[in-house]
Amino acid sequence: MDARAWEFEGSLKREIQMIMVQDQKKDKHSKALEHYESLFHGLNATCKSSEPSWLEVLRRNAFLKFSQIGFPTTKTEAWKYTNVSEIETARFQNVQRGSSLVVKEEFDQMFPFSLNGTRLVFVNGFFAEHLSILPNPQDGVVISSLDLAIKTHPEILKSYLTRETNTEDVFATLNKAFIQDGVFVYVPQNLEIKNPIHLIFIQGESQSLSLVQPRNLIVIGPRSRASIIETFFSVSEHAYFTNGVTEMVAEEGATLRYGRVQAEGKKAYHVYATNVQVGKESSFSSLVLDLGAKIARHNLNVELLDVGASCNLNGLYFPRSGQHMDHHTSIQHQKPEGVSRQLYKGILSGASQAVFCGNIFVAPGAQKTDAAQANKNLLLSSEATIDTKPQLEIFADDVKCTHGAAIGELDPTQVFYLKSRGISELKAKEILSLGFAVEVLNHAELETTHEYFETLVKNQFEGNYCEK
Amino acid sequence: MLQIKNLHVNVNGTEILRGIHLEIRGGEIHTIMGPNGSGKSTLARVLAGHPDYEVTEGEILFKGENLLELSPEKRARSGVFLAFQYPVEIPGVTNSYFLRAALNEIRASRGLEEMDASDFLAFLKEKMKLVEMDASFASRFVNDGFSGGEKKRNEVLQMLVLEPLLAVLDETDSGLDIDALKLVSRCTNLMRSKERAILLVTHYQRLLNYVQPDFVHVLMDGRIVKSGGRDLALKLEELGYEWMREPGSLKGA
Amino acid sequence: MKEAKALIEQEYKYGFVTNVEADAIPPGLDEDVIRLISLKKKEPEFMLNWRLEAYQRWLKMQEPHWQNVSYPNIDFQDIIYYSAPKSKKDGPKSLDEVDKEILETYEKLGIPLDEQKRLAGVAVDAVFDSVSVGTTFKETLKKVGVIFCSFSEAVKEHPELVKKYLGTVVPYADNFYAALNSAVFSDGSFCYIPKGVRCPLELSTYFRINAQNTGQFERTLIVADEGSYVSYLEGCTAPIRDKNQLHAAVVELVAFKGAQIKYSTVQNWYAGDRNGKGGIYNFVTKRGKCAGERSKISWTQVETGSAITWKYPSVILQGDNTVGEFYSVALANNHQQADTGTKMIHIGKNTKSTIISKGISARFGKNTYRGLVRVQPGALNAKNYTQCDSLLIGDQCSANTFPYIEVQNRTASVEHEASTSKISEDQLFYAKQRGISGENAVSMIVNGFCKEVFKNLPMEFAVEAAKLLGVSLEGSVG
Repeated sequence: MDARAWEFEGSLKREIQMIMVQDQKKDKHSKALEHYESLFHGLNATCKSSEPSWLEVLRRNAFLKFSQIGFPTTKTEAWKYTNVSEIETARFQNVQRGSSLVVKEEFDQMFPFSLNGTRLVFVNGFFAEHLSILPNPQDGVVISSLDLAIKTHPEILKSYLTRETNTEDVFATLNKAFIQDGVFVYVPQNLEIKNPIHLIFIQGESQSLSLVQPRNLIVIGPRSRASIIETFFSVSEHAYFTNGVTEMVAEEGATLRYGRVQAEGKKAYHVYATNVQVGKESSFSSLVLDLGAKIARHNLNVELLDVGASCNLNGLYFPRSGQHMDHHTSIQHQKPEGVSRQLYKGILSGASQAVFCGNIFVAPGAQKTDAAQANKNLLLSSEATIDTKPQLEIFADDVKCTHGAAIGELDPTQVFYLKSRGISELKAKEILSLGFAVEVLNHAELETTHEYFETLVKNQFEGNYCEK
Repeated sequence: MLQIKNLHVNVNGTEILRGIHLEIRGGEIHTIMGPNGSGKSTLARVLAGHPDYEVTEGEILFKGENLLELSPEKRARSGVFLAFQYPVEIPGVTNSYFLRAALNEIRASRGLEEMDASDFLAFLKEKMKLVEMDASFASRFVNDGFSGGEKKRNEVLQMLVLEPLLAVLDETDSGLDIDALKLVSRCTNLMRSKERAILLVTHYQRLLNYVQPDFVHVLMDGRIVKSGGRDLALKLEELGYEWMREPGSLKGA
Repeated sequence: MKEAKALIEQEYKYGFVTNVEADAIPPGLDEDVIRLISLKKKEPEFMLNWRLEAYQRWLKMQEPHWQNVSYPNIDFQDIIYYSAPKSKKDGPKSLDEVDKEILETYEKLGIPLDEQKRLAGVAVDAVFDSVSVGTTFKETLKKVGVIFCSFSEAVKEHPELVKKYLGTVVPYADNFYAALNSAVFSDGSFCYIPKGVRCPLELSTYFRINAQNTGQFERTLIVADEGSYVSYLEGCTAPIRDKNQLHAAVVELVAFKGAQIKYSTVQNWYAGDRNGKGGIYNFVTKRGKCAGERSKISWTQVETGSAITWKYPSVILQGDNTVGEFYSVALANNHQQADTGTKMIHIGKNTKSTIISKGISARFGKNTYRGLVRVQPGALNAKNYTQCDSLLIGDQCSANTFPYIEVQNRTASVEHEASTSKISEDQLFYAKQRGISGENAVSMIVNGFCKEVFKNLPMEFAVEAAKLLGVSLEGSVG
């Protein structure tokens, strides 16, 4: 779909300019593809001996598909408001396994949060066993690095990784072509994993322009429960690119909670897809918190595959000057009696940009669907830009679907009220912004990780509020 | 006026009413009481012809005619009125427009002339005074955003406007404060006349402090297990329903 | 909802054909055809040149396919670009000279051109196939200085005004169909309200496609000078034809300081039969510009006809304190497809826009709301409120909502709400319990659903729209 065509087309002059630019672009596209081809061959050379043949075939086909499609432009509807040409033109490099070693003391300093439960730490995309805390083995539960799981559980991995998907974004295809490491979690039926499983991805200071492509696979068996919390964290001043994919499956009657914190380095690029399949009467809830990176994009695709499946998606994004944060969510109600809730909020300061696109799809026959979506944005600066696109596609009549979007400033009467009680304007705004954000935290069913998210949100506002 | 003979009713394949016998004559007020799930509301809705209910056996005669053969709107036009337990909201359609459409269709079926908008408004205003409804209610959308009490009062208003021959009030008293309850009772008493029959479906006997029924029936597990006068309601208030379940109590009490 | 099955399926009421001799040029399009159209209309040179430029531009453009509708490819060489009822003289000087058959046609449509019988208050310009066949109440309007005439007449009588405003809101290069229209447009209405004049009559244009295989490409231009006010109504019908016909119109509105334009449309082009055969492709570009401060443009549309409707009446809020409004009811019944909505472009300070869209889908209908609200960096305190509701009748239809909201100013306040509902069994039962028939209950609920839009239509139009909706929905609930 040519998104631009719908807008007012400009003058002839602009058209001619476009044609000229197009020639240059062609050059840009082919150069980028050449670069990724060399990265792909480089990876093949190192992996060939160690990986099973099905994985090699999978990666090769994915790369073929990627090179046919290429990087999106703002003419691609899904990328209308996020320009990735910086990512396309930068020459990111594969990272060698074990190339940067972070010792435990360094890690504790870098990552100042004490988290309970299981934790799997990845440095520059590779599993770092010495920094991880793995639980005692439990009947049939698998929590391991993907790299290891490919060897220990090849059949399960093959069956999930080779599934055909029609919703795959080109970045997810690129990720598939470079599958190396990540997390594999498998919980058999009727089990409750009490403590959250933390997946921590950190980027070391070591090298500039690194390309990290983690791939996680989480399978929660029938009637089981688990929480997965992903954190992407870096204090690196370098530019690097995280292009990740997490695939999740919640089978019949399962409960899956998903948290995600994106706190990448200031110059980082972060493109990530989380694809979730929710089975019969099972429920999925999520909270995504966007804090870091220069350009960040998160695609959250939730397929409610069977009767009575439900999801509750929550998001918070706080872009500051120079940051661009983009959230695309898609909820597909495939069968009757599904319930979906969605609340995404953004607070934009400085010359920042945010994008929200939420699509709710109700398939023919998915009667009694109940879907509600809200996106609210606070603009704190006159240079901030927000583009929001809530969408409904409904093919069944007995449904309840609503969506809403709101954009505005802090309510001046509220600010005044706080000031009249002796609170400074800055503090008043801080309090009100925090209050605006806290609604999302309360809406998300976080349980034990509530505190972790609350701390992160508070840190964002306290003291260093609004650079205008 | 109304004769119910051996009425059996299914909902989604489950039998809810299992052989109801009931006769109501003009001028009478009957009360049906019973615990939750006994089938009281089912009976009320079957009388109105709700499509979810399947009559598997028995018959209902209204003014000697087979009521079960009539569509819901024909039943309404012949004089059956149901005050709903949970009245539905119809956004965008004003109360006055809705009621005038209903009244005129009923009038047309009886060969009467249509009432024009201004006559109707004057007529409606009078009736609204009786239920102590503000004039603004006429232009509000049917039940849209009404509180529970307002919805119930709106049902009573519709009854007053449409002047049915058989008025079935399905728990119109529940969820009302004492003032609203008195008001509903007063209007119900206003409706009382020789030609008209009233069937009150209720949980509580407190309504009967204000509306004197001629008969009280107890409905349990889809059957009328006991009928009596006002006293029966008082006894139920005191002892609850359980005592009736005991074997032999049907005769003994 | 079996009572709805009882609803008699009513044929399209306006599907008759009028037997008039037509002066048509053969199908196909090239420069010669454009020259011929211009010649037949005795146009000044600037007009011909503008057409030719547009044509050249059109040749370079590609037919857009991003919209959420599907239809077979259109063969642009198979369309007749000019068809006019033949008359004995060059053109009707007064209504007495208009072909009797045509007058009868309009009478059948309920559009009285006969001034004697006319209810006071509406001046009508009637466009039959490609040309205007008569404008009523000219004298009354002349007294206050209002110019209301066919576009052809305006080109001849007021070339300076046409030249000044034509293409200023919708340039010929705007999009594929606007370019095509600019090249071949045959007639339409022109309206100019001078400074400070409140137009004493509702102005109205009635469009009718009669001839077969004909495309109708009319163009409307309304200019409201400082402090003026005009309310304009537009209605459309076409005969039943098996083949699809293209209608690609352009409407441009310009409102200067303090001026107000209210533009209402009741679109009832032939929608095709129950199986989706035939019907009009209604591809229209409508845009208004609030050029001066405190001006206001308000679009109200009731779209019940056409096989495919695809249009976005938009407002460019250029002046400070300007107001844009869009009220829409779009019905997609049987195999109809509608992709419609609006664009509100906030440029000036304290600009305000309101969007109320009501989409009704029935049987296999496909209804899409697509809207853009853009707040430019300079649009301080811009405000938008959008509400889009969908009503689905039956489980084979669909309703889509695609709003685009782009905000570049923190003082903006933009609110978008959307909901989907159906006519519930409970509502129908409730109405029936009160003695109201199923058909009346459905029509009551649908009209209630559309209430916020209907109340923005002039009274007579609102009544007509409500009736039209009832007729168009007949046979849909089942």
